[in-house]
Amino acid sequence: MALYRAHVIVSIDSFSILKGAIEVKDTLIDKLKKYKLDQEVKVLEMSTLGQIKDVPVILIYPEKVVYAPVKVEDIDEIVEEHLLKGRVVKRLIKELPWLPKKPKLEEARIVLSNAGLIDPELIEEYIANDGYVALGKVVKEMKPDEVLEVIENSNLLGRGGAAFPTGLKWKFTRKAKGEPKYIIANADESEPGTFKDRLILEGDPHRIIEAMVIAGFAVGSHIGYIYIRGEYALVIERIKNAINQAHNMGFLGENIFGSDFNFEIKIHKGAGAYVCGEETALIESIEGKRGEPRTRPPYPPTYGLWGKPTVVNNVETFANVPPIIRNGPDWFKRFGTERCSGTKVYTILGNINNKGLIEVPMGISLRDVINIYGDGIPGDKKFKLAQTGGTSGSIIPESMLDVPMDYASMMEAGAALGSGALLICDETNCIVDLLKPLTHFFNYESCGKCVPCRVGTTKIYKIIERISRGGGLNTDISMLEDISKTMAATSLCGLGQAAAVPVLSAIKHFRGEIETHIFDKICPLGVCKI
Amino acid sequence: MAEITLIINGKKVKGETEDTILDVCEKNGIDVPTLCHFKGLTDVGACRMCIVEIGEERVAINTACTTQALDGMVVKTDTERLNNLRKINIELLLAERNHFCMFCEMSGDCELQDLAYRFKIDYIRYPLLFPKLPLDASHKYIIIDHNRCILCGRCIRACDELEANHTLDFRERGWQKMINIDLNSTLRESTCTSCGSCIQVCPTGAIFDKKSPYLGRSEECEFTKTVCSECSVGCGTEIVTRANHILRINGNFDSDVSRGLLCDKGRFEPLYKEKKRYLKPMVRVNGELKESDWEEATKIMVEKIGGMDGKDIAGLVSARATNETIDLFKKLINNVFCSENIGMLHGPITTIKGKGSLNKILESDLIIVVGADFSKDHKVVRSLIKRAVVKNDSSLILVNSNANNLSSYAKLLLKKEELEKVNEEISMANEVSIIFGYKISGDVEKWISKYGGEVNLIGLMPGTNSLGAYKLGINRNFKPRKARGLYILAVDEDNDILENIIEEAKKSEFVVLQTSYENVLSKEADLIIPSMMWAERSGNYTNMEGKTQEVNKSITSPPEVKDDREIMVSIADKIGKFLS
Ligand SMILES: Cc1cc2nc3c(=O)[nH]c(=O)nc-3n(C[C@H](O)[C@H](O)[C@H](O)COP(=O)(O)O)c2cc1C
Ligand code: SF4
Ligand code: SF4
Ligand code: SF4
Ligand code: SF4
Ligand code: FES
Repeated sequence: MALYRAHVIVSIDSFSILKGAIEVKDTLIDKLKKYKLDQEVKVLEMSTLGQIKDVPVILIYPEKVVYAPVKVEDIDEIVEEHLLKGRVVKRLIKELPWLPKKPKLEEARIVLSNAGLIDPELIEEYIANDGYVALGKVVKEMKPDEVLEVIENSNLLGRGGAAFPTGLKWKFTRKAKGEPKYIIANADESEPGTFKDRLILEGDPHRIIEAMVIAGFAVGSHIGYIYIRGEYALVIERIKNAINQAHNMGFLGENIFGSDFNFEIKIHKGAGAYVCGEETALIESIEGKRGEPRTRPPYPPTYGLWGKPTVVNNVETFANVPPIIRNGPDWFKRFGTERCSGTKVYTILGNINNKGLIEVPMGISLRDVINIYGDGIPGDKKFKLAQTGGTSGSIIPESMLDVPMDYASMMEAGAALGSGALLICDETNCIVDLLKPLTHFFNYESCGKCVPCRVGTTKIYKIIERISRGGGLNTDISMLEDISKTMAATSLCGLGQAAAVPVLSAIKHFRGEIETHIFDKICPLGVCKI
Repeated sequence: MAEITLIINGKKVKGETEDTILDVCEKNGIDVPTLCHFKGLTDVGACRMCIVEIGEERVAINTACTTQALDGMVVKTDTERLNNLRKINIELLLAERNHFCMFCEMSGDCELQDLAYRFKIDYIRYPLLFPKLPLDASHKYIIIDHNRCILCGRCIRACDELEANHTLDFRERGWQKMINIDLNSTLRESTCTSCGSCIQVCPTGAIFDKKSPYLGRSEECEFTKTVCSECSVGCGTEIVTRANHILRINGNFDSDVSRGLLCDKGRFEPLYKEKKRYLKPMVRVNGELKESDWEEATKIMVEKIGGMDGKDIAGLVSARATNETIDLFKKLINNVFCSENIGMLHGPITTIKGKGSLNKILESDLIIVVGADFSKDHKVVRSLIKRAVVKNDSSLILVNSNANNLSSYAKLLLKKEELEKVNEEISMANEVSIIFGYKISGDVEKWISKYGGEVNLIGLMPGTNSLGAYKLGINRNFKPRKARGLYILAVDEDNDILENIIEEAKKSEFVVLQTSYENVLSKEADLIIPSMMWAERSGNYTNMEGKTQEVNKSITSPPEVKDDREIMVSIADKIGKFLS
């Protein structure tokens, strides 16, 4: 293998591609050839470097210098100054929150340990970073029950929103009667403002494949599906490539690692309905039916795909599995809080300086996430509220900023972590104006199977909309409460149940502001056009 | 199945392991409101009306219709909290589309309206939307008004699970969700078989038939359970009548033959026939039929036919007549008129006998249909076959069959010369049903008899009560000989059967026609005796499986129309013979 004195990593993720990353990479390669540096400097393609605003990003090793955003016109300077003469191009320097010069907090990258550091198109790079070690260990040295025990002891909770213990889910599936069993990776990720699964899959596809095979071994399944949101073209391409490579290396297919264990993975493209991320609707969709949730019980571990026992896990959940197997449950439990081990990947959006993707240990307060990882709120604006957990998450006021962000503590505080989307709003945002797109979203995405959600989401949107126009009625708040509570209590699936959350929490914390819209026909912040 | 015990509303009640909570409630007389549930269809949990509280310490709310009952479960069905939630959901439904009950044809017979009364809703708080939705009145018998639809999906499940036709489904999602017909077709142009199941299961005024709207609410109507008289399947029906008028024919879900299913011939056609009814006896005088009375009619009958020698008399009877009537007719011809010359109007059929059962079709992994015609009759058998193929993955082989919409379900389409190909398939199957028509040829008959004992063998019959008639001793192979006196007991038989007899009738000296309606034989008849039509008769029918089922009259016949049996008894009486 050739030895290079420097590695230049270019972010090739969907955001970067839109902003010309491919052209940047091609120009870079041309320039290096021109200066005859192509034998000394290696250009690598990476997935996201945790950045969505200032892209494309270029990361130069061994110096760990980050340039962003880079344009084609900047390449001359980077090659001539940095790579030829060894002088850093100051005007392009960018700091990445997860690549600190001096660590700001405990650095915890379990899920994203490879993303942005290896070439996702090359299985060799994954292997060089401990890839498929866990699978080898599982297949060669462990019994299925031992794998189940490790996962159970690690306290890993599902990262798709419901925080169900993964070990328990696998155990139920193993015990359930019925053949064949199925493993499904839920990569539908249609929650607005959430794109962590995409970046995990774009940046480290083999990790998910490895985890699914391990899950298959543990529960006694030979077939896996990755259900990928249809819009994620790059993910689909990378996963296809990774499946081929894993096949060629004997990590997938028949006689994995020379054992008698077989596992195949199929890809299923979603068609763009939010509700198809719900596990039973997802299963119906794979079966070729209308994407509508099933009634439960029975749950997928006993009655899943084609009526057979099925594990459905979120991508981020799977991403935790290989490191847990490699390092043991006790290592994993060192991260996070007592009740919730490990880290959580968040996507921070809204009025925040550092928008993008972070991975932090469970239990860090929202205040720290905003101030340290998010670099605070732009301008001199004050914090007003945050919505955690995506569109269906609860609205959190200033007073709750110090609640530790783990599933259990958030639930006790009446909030939820959900899928890990964090929307930060400063004082210029109007609560009614914020509720309008949220309630419209549910009105649009309700599958319409059950009455409370189908009709309730429509009525709620109509009521919010009339309040924002100055047409609110005196009884509107009590109607919103009635409908929301009925949706929460009687909806068939999580969509309808959770659609009530933002409305109820907004009324709880910002009732006065809504009442001013209704009674005085004024938007105190001048946002709504009354 | 084992017995389980639950505590529902504080009382110990019993159920069985396969039961849902709703099943247990029903068995124990506990009333739980439902809307999307329909007995016999899969439950989907869409309306959320049947929510119950489950558990003691940690109380969960779930739907009774979809949650399996477990031993020791503690359930509450009637708490204030549940009723409040139910009430809001009903209110939401009422506010979703157009539910101005006073203009609705189902007002008074609508499950949504009943619930609104039950939960004392007299005012809707939520913004009304009134989306402008279409109404599809293109179909001959059926109207779909989307404005009244509550998207419970009962019609869709009936179309899919009972008729196995899947014409209906949903389209779009959320508030735009709508009943969809095929690939967005009108019902008239769709694959709809007009079975009418969707009408019967719809809880609101969203799907209804064109005949009965506004003619009567259930509380003003009478309901009579009986058997369809249109073909030999013998589907269970429920006749809805008001003031001696038939409004509607429903399927009887308790019938173990058809379990609620009917076909268009049984559900709609009888209500659309416009024929002239004979209300009094008619006598031909100088070539013209003249109204007469019973006295004169029996007198002429005795004079003309009673005076003939037995070998000059023939009797033909319709398979729409009940066992009791056929039996008496046979005795009349045999014992009173001393003739052995008696047969069925529909003519001779094969002698091979099927002893199978229709329900077993659903359990068969291989179904063979030989020489059958489903274009007019036996459509419910066709539905059962479709259901077996679609729902239970059975294989279907069609041999020489005019299978009208079944071909696309078949694995093999064969000519009768290729019958031998089926042998191998049969040897590999576990449960086989062979369904054969009544006009099969001798070699096919021989082939079928080979399997007589081992398979579920079902013979389609040409007439409703043909099998009953054969069991009563009427010859399967009877061909009428030339007769001077011909007594035709046609009841309300259709013209396509009666047409076969025109030539015989023309050759006869004296023709007695006992019939409900004017028909193709009327021109040849010398004496017409009015007869009851299907809804006026009582007695028994024996269906193609050999099941004898009760026929009950749902309306009273016009004053001068007498029971066929009464007429025959009085004829015998006049001749001086006793008939019972
Ligand atoms: C409306 C709705 C949408 C959902 N969307 C997703 C999704 O996009 N991705 C996901 O992993 N889980 C989603 N979920 C959660 C899944 O139903 C399921 O709980 C999860 O995939 C289980 O994986 P976990 O145990 O690893 O969290 C959604 C749930 C609901 C109710
Ligand atoms: S809650 Fe909403 S999304 Fe879920 S089943 Fe009901 S209508 Fe569909
Ligand atoms: S009449 Fe029968 S086939 Fe036609 S739509 Fe209704 S249920 Fe389906
Ligand atoms: S048409 Fe009737 S049965 Fe069908 S979904 Fe609508 S309300 Fe239910
Ligand atoms: S199949 Fe025959 S018995 Fe059944 S409803 Fe149709 S005509 Fe009547
Ligand atoms: S009757 Fe149970 S949900 Fe509709």
